[in-house]
Amino acid sequence: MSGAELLFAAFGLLAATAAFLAVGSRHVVHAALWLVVALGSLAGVYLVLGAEIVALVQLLVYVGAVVVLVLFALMMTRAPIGIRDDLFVGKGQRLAAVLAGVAVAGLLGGTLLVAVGDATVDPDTARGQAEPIGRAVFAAWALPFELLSLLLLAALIGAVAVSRGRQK
Amino acid sequence: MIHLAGPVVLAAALAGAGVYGLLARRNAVLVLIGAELLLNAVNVLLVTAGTLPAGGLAALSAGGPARATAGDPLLPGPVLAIVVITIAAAEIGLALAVVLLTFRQRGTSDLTELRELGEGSPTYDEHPDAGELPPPASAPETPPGDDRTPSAAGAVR
Amino acid sequence: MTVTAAILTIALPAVAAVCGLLFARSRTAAAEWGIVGALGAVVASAVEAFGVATGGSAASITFLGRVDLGVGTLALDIRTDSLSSSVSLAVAVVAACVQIYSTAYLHGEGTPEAPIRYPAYAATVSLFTAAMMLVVHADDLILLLVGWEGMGICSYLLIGHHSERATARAAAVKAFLVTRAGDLGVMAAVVLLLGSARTTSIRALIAAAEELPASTVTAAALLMLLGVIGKSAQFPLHTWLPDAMEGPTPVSALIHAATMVAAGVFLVARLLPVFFAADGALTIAAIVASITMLGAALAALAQDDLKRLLAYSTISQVAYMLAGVAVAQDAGEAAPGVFHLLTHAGFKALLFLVAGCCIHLVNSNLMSRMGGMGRTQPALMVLLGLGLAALAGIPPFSGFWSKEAVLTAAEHAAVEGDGGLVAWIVLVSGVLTALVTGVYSGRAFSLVAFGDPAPSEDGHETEVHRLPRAMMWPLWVLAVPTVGLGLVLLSPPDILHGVHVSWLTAFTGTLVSLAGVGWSLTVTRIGGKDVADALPPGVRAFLRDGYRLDDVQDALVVRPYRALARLAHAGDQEVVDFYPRGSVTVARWAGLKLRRLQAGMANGYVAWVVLGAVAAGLAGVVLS
Repeated sequence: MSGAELLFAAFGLLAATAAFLAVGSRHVVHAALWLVVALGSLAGVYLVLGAEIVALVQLLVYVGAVVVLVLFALMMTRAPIGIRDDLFVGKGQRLAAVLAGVAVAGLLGGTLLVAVGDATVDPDTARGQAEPIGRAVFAAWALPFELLSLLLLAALIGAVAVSRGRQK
Repeated sequence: MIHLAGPVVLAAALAGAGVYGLLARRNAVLVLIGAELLLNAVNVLLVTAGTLPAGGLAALSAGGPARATAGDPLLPGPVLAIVVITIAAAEIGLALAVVLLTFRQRGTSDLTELRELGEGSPTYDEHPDAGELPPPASAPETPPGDDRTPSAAGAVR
Repeated sequence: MTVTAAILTIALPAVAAVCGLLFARSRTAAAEWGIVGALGAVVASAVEAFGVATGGSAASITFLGRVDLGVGTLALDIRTDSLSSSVSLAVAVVAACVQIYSTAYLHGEGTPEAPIRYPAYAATVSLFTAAMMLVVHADDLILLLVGWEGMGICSYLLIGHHSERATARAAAVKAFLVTRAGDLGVMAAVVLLLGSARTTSIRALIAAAEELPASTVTAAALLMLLGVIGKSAQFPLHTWLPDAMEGPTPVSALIHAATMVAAGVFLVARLLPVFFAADGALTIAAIVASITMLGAALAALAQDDLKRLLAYSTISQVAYMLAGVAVAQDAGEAAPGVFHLLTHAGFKALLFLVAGCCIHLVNSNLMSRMGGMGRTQPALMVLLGLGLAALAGIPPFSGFWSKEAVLTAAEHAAVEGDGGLVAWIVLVSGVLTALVTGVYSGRAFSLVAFGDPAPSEDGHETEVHRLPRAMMWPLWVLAVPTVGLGLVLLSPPDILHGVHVSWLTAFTGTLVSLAGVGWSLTVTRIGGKDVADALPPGVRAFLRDGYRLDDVQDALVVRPYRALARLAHAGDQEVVDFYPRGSVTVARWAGLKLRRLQAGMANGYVAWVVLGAVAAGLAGVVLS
């Protein structure tokens, strides 16, 4: 087991555990904080996979912005602090949710595991740096990139308009 | 050298957790956490795919070099991961705005209590505004729906 | 020249119809177009008749070119011979008289219930004339059919001219549908002949009639006879003709005298060799004619309405023509029937136009209202007397010669030829009909000319006024052939060479007719008012209603057809519409049920999405 693999296993295990806790916690704020851990360790996973810039964007956008937004939203909706039992749907539906999750995970993991077999890769860290990604984004992906900026603008305006409510 | 089974299993676990979060949570914000996990599962797969050499899995299992060679200017894996992150940011921003608005108007962000629009729900009302319409006799000179008349505007303010 | 004249007889009325409809800005202009077209046709047919008499007939004139049908080439040719030239002359003269007469008869704008649309009227009469001319001259069955159907639509339009009246509309529809029932036979016959002989040329068909399979010829002849019965108003398809009196009176003159009803007899005369080659077709025609002539004459006897009386007399007289053609002993011998057609065209047009004058004077169709015209309108009554005398077959008027010619032909067939029983039936029926015809002719004359007019319902007496000149002098024109057409036998055209009048038959017929006329005329002298009073009231009403055949027709055809229509309607409503309605019901039911799935649970909706994704993924795994 190589060093990279060890690192990957550590980050991956952390991310998976944190993810399960984020969706399974009976403490609202803890759930959000476990999300921070999951997303942060995913950034580590990206680093190990040689996608340096993606890892940075993950930290900036997800850990830095999205999670902060989520926490703010929890505060503004007066999320209860402490262990609560009313965070989940009924037992039957919860069982169905578990089944659905297992099904999705099984289907995805099963098919992909069969597909990849025992193949290994050697990540090239040079490819995931800012310069080649920047060249790709601003050359070949320029048009999707502009569309994304439009999407962000629309989301921005929409968020402002929606959260202000109807002004009479 | 990294065994590809690792990222695949991680992605599957994240996706399963995300689906569970989507389906099992009642709080709208916590449902969104599940959605974020699903998106991250996708990202893991995208980044992993970005490490594959030219020709992808087929070239790899055929005994080709495990390391991707420089020269592919597209870099679709990481670029698409960034695209997904951007979309996720837009999504969460808008979705949280909706959650906030709902909370302001209804006093709750519990999805099981926000069921008025479903015809199968017990709280469904065919004519939700019928009870709120002002009786016509109270403002005979004001046609309904005309908010710009001074009396209606004044009444609202 | 003959050829050009023959084409012009068709073309001039047709052009007049189109121009009158398109370019006539005023009533006067429309009338002029109609009159010019009709008079042009008179001149053209006179030239044609002269040309045929002196220079012989033209068998084939290219008219509308040739059409390749695939099964054969359709030669849309016309022909001119003695038959077509003489009939077309009669048609043209009657049409011209009708056009002139109509200008005075249909004066003014009419009443709100019965407005007069003169340009359309004159154009339709012109078109009617052109269609009849086409039938008369056609050398091709398809071309003949065009004219035949053209007459059908024109008769519909003219009978229903006062379309604001429900009775006029009903009569027009009835005329159209009943004649159409017969026309189907003609069409089927044309198809049959086209399929068998590979040609619709009348000339070729006549030549090939003997060689065609007997069954085909018989079927075609019987089918064509059905059309003849419908068009010529023979039993049992005659019921439209009395009702057609709802049309303006000049139209009745046109339909009865020259065009529509004569077309059927003309068709038999034209295709006589084909009918001759068919077993039994002429026998059936003779029997139908025998029934019709006597039955219609008896019905005419009981009529109170002058126009309906004349209508039934037309049915009876057309039956004479048909009988005259049907007892022919030789494929070339249509002469007696055609002769009666020509004389009848003259005197029946005269009678209808005189009847129109009477109706114009008293504003009623009832003979009881017309009494005493012998004093007030002597000239009109002279004309009426001439027409009725010709109708009754009093010598020396034209009707006498033609009727005796028909009877002579029947007697010839019965006694000397191989006509057998059928010819005897025709002969006996013809003689009896002559008696009845005499009676009703005399009755009509005595009622109109001598009787006392019944007071009108609204009380005031109709003032006596002079008839317009345009209404009077066409009558005198028509009186000439009525009186003198018998003279043509001194130098007959080709078509009338077969006309013989035997002295014995003529004597018997005249005696019978005179007896009938005398009886009905003397009844009034010895105190009776109306010879029809001699009939028991029930019988009289039965006859007046045309043997209640309308009721029979109603029970046999109209009601079953209506029931069928209701059935079809019900089938459409209950069976065909079941499927669209069923799909609506299913969609509505499914909507009601499926919308319960909209539980308002966001998690539930996501669950469906996940379920779909998993299902799609599984399907992909399983299928790949």
